[in-house]
Amino acid sequence: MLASVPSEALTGLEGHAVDVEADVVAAAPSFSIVGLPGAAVQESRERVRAAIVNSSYEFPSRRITVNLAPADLRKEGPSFDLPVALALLQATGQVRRRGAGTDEPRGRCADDERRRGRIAAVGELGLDGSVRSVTGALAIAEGLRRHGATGLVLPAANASEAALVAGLDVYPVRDLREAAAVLAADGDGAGRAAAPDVADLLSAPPPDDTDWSDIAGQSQVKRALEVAVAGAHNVLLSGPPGAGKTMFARRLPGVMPPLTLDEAIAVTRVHSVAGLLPAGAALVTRRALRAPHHTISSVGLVGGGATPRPGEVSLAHLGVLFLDEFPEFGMSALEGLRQPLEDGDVTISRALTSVCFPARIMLVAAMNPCPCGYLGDRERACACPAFRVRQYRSRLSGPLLDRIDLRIEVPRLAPDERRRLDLDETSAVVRARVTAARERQLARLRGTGAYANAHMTVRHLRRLCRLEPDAVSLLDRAYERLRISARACDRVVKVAQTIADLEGAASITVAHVGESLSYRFHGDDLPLG
Amino acid sequence: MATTCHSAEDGARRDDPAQDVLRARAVWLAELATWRIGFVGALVAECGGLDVALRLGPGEVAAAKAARRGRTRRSAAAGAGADGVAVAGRAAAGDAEAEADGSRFAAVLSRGPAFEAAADPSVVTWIDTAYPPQLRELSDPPPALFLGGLTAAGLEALARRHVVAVVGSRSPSAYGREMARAIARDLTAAGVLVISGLALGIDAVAHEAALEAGRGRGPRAVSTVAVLGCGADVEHPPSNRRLFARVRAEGLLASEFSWGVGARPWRFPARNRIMAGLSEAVVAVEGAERSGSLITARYALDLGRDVLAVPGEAGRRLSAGPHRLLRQGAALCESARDVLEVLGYGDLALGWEDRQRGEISGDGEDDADVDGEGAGVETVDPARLLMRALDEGVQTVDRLASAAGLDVAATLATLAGLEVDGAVEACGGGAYRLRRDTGGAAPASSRREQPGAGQRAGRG
Repeated sequence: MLASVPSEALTGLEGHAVDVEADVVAAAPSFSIVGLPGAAVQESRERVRAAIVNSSYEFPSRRITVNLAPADLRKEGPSFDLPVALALLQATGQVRRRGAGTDEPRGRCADDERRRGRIAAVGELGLDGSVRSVTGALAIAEGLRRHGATGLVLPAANASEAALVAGLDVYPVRDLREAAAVLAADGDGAGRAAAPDVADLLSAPPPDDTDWSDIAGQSQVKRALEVAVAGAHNVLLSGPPGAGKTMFARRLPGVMPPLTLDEAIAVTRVHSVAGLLPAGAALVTRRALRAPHHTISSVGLVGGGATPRPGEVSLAHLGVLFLDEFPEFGMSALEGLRQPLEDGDVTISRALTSVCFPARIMLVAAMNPCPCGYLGDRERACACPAFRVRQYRSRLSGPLLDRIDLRIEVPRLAPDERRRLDLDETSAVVRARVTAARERQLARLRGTGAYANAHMTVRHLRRLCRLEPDAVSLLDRAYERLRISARACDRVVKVAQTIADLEGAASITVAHVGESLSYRFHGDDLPLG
Repeated sequence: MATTCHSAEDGARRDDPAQDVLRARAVWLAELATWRIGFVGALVAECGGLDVALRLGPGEVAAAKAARRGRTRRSAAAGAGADGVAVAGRAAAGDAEAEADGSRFAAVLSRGPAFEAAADPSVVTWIDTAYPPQLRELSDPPPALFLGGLTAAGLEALARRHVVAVVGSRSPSAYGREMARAIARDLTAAGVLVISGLALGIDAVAHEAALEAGRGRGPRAVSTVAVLGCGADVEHPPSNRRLFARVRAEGLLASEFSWGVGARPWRFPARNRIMAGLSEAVVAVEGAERSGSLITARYALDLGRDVLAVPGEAGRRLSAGPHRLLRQGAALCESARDVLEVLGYGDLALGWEDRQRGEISGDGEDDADVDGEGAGVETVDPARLLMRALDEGVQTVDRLASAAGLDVAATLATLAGLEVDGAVEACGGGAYRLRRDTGGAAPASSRREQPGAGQRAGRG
């Protein structure tokens, strides 16, 4: 007898409809899975067999063929365990769908047609019949919804994220018997996961373990980072060890504007696929901070692998990618960052597929002034030979630096400054200013495709940025006297525009350009000592 | 020609040999010195002068060498042959070596025409009139100097102009670089020839500043002289390649070591001895207590040249060297003016320095108004407030902001304006300072054409 259960396969973040068909015929006992199954899917035979037996069903000692259609799409991962078991139970008549066989369209019809009104299933099985969580539940649910399914049986741990998708009934189950019951009743009377209250989740106050006001003094760095966050500019922090570069980076997500629902869902999708969403969590509500170690591989940073997985740059989507010890990162890893920084997404091409992960990040790179870290420090002597310093800095040169708008020096505080305990601004205050500045940018950039000043092209700059005459003359003098390149000049204008936005000014004044100039790259002319 | 010279030389050893033979011998001795530092010095000491030493043939020199070696081996006890080179000349052990040295001598001779009176000689020897006169005062002068760049003009400049060496650490602090740059630039602007060792750090900064300040004096004007611890055609250290090329184009490269000789640590003290010998005064900028870079200053003390030291912050590693020199009686050097005073420039230098100071602080004379009753009423120019705060030294932006009572954004905006105008500069670590060398801001003419600051003829 033949039975089928709709399911979903993911390549990257994109769902593909998969029909799990089971055919049981009276022949020599065997169990085979066809339809380009990966290793984990092949192994699901053993899990399915044990789960069926241990759930007090009968495992047929007949010839079983499971087909995962379409047969040309590679299927990976253990999430087909549950649909395979359910299809098998239906094919052996141990589970009967109410009204099955009469309204089920058969034969040649569109895939979507075939699964209209049906309940799909995903989940990994334990040998005891329990249903275990899967990765990417949100993307799977979205795909199923698009492909016409009306219900989804899935592990209880993944229910809340899948319940974000409107128009899809989500049936959380804990074991195979519960899943079979939902299917048999065609969803009637089964417990459905309630859609999470997104507004509530998003407005929840961020945990107050890290706050902008934790950092004493350093008002120069704070100001510069506020500008950077306001315009989504990539920054390079440079300073001796212990000056607080990491401390600042950790507090950056807290001063960025709160995520909108769409943004939160986009972040959740990636985190879910990477298996980083905590069990039971519905939504990632805080902007991410990813801080990979400098030994990370190119694939780890950008994403990839035989089955493409999101890299750190995608996990930091709409958040902060913090690369401490920036010059120590591998050249190939850093080169891989160029495309995501330019396009806001990562495209990973494989022979059969090409996968796109979002990667709209704010890059925060950090480095010491020299390998030992104390060059230029007033209290400690630097132990690096000059050529080592040169070598260290030369690793920074290249096109990646073109995508970094601000260079911020983080000095080590003198003892009296460190002890200072005046009231510094909290994250909430800074965030409010940043959010206002972002809204001004969005209004100005409407229709350009850019969402922040950092992403303005040269044409946007010429068309949208209005400089006052004395600002122009300062820029011209700087161009001439400080020997900054034309491209660096464009960056200065970009950052000046952000400063103007923070202030709510209609045009860029000489003060804005001046402040922006102080964040520019000094490049080679910066003294080695 | 070379062969004739060689054969003639053997027969006519006691006669007055031809000039080019002497010259060839000087070159040959210099090549010997490349590998045996101190040997020529010892030889000169034994002969009682380089003039005598140059009259020795290869065999005799080899014998002297053998004798010297024997003496050091058997300590003073067996030093019977101490009564002169001629006795040692008969030592049999020297024969093989004499042959080897002789063939090297022949090789040098065969290059003869290369260093005869060409427009830009590549070698200058003891017997040449162009040999830097101040080097003749050394106890162990180099028999020959190998040259590169504008050699004829460079030798003339060494002989006729005031020469000051600026030396210091190879990994200086920002302050050290700045001081070296300012001093070298201002000295060059005042017509002094700045020399250094073309090493990293202070040396490189001094050369660069001198080249910068000397630009525009004319196509064959020598801006700086680099005394090398390797062959004058060896670009060492490699990161100074561009600077090397600039010095070759606009200055003079000099070395007592032969062509292609690589840089070795034990050659640098010898180089420093020449640097000290060439200069009238040595300015030590930064260096640790036992820094090799300050050996020049010690040689200079031995030679009776003036030594000046730039003071650093107390207690810092790089201040230890100059401070020690100061304790030993070196003159204090805060700017090029101090050097010029030592050289006898006197009042001329003073007026020039004061003018420069006026340019830095802008219209400084109405400072009093700001301090006085007007301060509370009138809006105070933030730039002036910042300049006054910076007058006390390097300041971080945070401190500047609180000193001037501005917020960080306004502070940065004002500082950028001052930076564009060349009054201040960023010095790393989020800090700014006044520019001591107002090269960017001061009109070039006021620095370059100083009355009396040109070349001074007739050195003592």
